[in-house]
Amino acid sequence: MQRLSMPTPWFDKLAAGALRAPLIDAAAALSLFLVAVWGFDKPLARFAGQVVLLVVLLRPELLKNGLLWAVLASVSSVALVQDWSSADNHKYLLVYWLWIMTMATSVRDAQTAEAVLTWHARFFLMFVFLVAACQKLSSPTYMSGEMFELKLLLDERFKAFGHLLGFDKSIADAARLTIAKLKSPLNEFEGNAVLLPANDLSRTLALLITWYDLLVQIAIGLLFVPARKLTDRMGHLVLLFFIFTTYLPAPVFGFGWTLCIYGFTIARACFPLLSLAYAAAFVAVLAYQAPWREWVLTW
Amino acid sequence: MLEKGGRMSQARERPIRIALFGLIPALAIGIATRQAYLNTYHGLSTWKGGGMGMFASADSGDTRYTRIYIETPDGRREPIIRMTPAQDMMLQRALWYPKASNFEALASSLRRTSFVAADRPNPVSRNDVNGDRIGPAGRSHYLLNADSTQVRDDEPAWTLVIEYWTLSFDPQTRLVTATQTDILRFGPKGA
Repeated sequence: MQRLSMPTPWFDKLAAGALRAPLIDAAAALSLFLVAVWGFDKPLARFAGQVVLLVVLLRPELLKNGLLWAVLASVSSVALVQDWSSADNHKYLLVYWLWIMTMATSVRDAQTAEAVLTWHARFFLMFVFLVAACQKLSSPTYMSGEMFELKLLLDERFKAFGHLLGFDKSIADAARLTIAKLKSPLNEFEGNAVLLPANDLSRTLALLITWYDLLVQIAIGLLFVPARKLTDRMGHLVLLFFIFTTYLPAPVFGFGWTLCIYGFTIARACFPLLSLAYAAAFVAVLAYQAPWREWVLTW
Repeated sequence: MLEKGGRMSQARERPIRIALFGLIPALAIGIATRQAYLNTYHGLSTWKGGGMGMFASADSGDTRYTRIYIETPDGRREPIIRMTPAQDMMLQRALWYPKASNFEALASSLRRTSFVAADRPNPVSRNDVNGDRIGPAGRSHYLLNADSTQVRDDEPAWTLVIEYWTLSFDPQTRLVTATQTDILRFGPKGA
């Protein structure tokens, strides 16, 4: 009797191939890419990132060299301290992660290295989202929808996104012009106040984005707390949903990439398919850099 | 003996394990706590400084701004509308964290700067709440641009005035209101 064997599904083969590299190698490569592409703009930090990238391209075994990671972490820390009050919050996450990579690449056994990475990835997913949710819940200008309405009206980066959702770009242009007049020393306004050309749509969109953002962030933070398979799987799905939907309008690509690293690091051991989904999320973050805003606004 | 050695080894490893797994989270929590303190009591924006408050508050780069003037001894005020890139960086730092030392650094740099202006002054307009012009305000300004090619080595007689403003938006009335939250003056030494 001929024995029939079921063919392995293509996605299982792909997942097995993609996940063959040890976690530390994958995390190191993804982190080095993060530093080289979205690291600090300070000349020394940029130079160090590029030199380490070059060294690793020439000698790939140095990717796991603790000294190289210590150099990257030190130089980035100095850049952060110099500009601590004007550096974006996710630059702090980058520096924390570089020190974590330094520790993971400096320990002798692979098991401890993986434990260092997965523990910190989980901690930062909970910390980032739960602290962010607390800050939002305690912020009157967030909960009222004011923050996202101002973003839709005044932030150039949100103009195309608002336009896609039906909020006419000419309204955003008029709002920016109004605020520029208010700020100008060549204008006086009665009561230092002016009406913004906001409308019901901008208000509704702002409230929808406000509640979507808050609920998704609370869900991600809480789902990673129990460290159970079911809650982790749900947490990954919500995190992936957040990454795929958030970094299209919000061009904070370094932060998006950092979240992908966290998620991938935790998912890799237990969830091969979700790891593949994170691979797609990395590609999505890169693709979102395309000048789609100009395309949308020139239609 | 072996067991004792094992215990000793475990005892030695414990601080290392604490450092490996606890140092960075403790640092992150400490920095976020400091950020919350500076945000609450010293005006540091929620968007900056190591908290997780990006997109958590309307108080951002859109809603903080300055008006910077040179005030001559006869009382005239002329606004500075363009600074050098380095001064723009200093201004950004002061906007995100309006601490006196951040403004002092900017003022010190501006007082060593030469400025150029057009031949004619620009009139100031009065506007209504809809943003429509309702008439002249009865005064005018020369708009000053920093001349990055010349650095002053003398002490200027004028006073630098920095007005720090914040905007608030009421979603119900759709009214944006500008409030002057601080005014800083940097005059000649000894004045």
